[in-house]
Amino acid sequence: MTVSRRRFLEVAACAAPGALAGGRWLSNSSGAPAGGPCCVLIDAGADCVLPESLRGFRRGLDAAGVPSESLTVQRLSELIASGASPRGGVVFVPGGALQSASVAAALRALADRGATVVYESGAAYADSGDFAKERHLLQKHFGVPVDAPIDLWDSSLKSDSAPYVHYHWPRRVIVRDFSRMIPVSRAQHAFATIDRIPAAERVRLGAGEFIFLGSPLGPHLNIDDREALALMKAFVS
Amino acid sequence: MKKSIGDNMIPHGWSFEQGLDLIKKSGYDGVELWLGDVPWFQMTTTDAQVADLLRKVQNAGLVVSNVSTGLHWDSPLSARDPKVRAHAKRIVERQIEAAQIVKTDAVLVVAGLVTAEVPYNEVYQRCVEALQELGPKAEAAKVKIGCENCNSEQRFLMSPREFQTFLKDVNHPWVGIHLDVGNIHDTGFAEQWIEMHGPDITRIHLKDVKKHRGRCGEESVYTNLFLGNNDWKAIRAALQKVNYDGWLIAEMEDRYRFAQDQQFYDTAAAIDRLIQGRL
Repeated sequence: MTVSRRRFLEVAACAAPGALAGGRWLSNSSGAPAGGPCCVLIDAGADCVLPESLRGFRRGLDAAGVPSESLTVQRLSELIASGASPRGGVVFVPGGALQSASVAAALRALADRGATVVYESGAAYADSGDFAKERHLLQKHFGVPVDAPIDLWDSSLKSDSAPYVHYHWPRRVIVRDFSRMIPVSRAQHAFATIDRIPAAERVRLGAGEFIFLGSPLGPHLNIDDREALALMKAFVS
Repeated sequence: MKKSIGDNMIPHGWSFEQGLDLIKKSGYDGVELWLGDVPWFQMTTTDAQVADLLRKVQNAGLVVSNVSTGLHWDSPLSARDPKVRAHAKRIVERQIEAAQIVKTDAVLVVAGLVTAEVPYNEVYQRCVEALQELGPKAEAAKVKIGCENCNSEQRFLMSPREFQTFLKDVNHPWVGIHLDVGNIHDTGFAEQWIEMHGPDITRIHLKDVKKHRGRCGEESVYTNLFLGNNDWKAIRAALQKVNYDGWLIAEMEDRYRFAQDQQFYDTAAAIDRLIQGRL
């Protein structure tokens, strides 16, 4: 489904945190939100290395009853270029391996203009060259430094601890790992760890926020994992 | 019912032609081709080379019963890595293509692999999604995908009812079960699997299993027909009940250490007695 510039701008006027796009959730005449929060799901196309994660977020949002709309990165870039401003709202970018500076700039602009951008990296499953590009773009556009992917199940690295990611924000939940992770280096505001290694980071940017997930969450949403769903709902609410 | 045996049983060092000659002489009607498990049939084998395999099979007076593969143990449809999953799907597609070339209508797929790392729910969902994608390709080729019950080894779809639910979730008439009567071990009874799955059975693998006869008394070990704990009278009765008249394919995982060709003859004779009901 595509979102017109007019609709995007209308939604941008919505006062409700979390509301971003979609006619049913536009602000009413008094400016108050007509419905609950809604989200935008970015289909990163070729830059999405974990398509099951995209399906997972879609499934999770449906299961949670959170209205959402999908945007391609191309459409997102067009909307950003046209000056659209989300003023709040949650934008999920599942399974990405950020390769394009223009997409990174568009996501940065979303955050600057008030959105919460939840970027789930799938780069641990991408080629090393693609990971290097993502690493560069994450640092340059979002100030998130990351280290090389870790294979959590490599017998030489595996610790005795159970294979779980411990999130302590936006709510305390434990979710299974997804075999490989992108660790955050020099983490300032890490909110999840695996074996004390930072696995997620939040960064305030302009009027919004950029949230980096180094361990994929979407595949767990695709199998209706309760804790993963609770975490996703917490991001939205 | 017709008898077949895998080309992966051909003794090491023998040529495909020598193996086919043995299979024919020992009384089989067909041969099961194992993609990736034998030097003559790999993912790199071209269509022309596959057609040449068919010519050799026909020259030996045999037909191809089905196309199987063990490649999914290393590249499962349930892998977390999407590149591995893509390769796994490609393996199935190649099986289907090869099946068309060798003029058979069934392939065997080990659908998923539950491990400590990749949990059951993930395996289930990915396998359903993968088979929903592959079903239409199988239908277009008129080749049935038979998911094998590798119960203990896969740690997946352990009961017949669970397997039935899985097939219902896949919901494609060209995806069924390749039933291995030796793989059920302690988790049930082969004859009940046959009864429950009846028309969904694409092919049957035959082997016997000795329950709790391992060195420590805790393991089950595969063995030749009639040496183990399978109730062959009950299995035969169940096959009759569901009107199964397809291929019975020997999969002797425990090989003779000496006179390896003898195992072909012994197994063929045992299958004959199963078919004839002389048990």
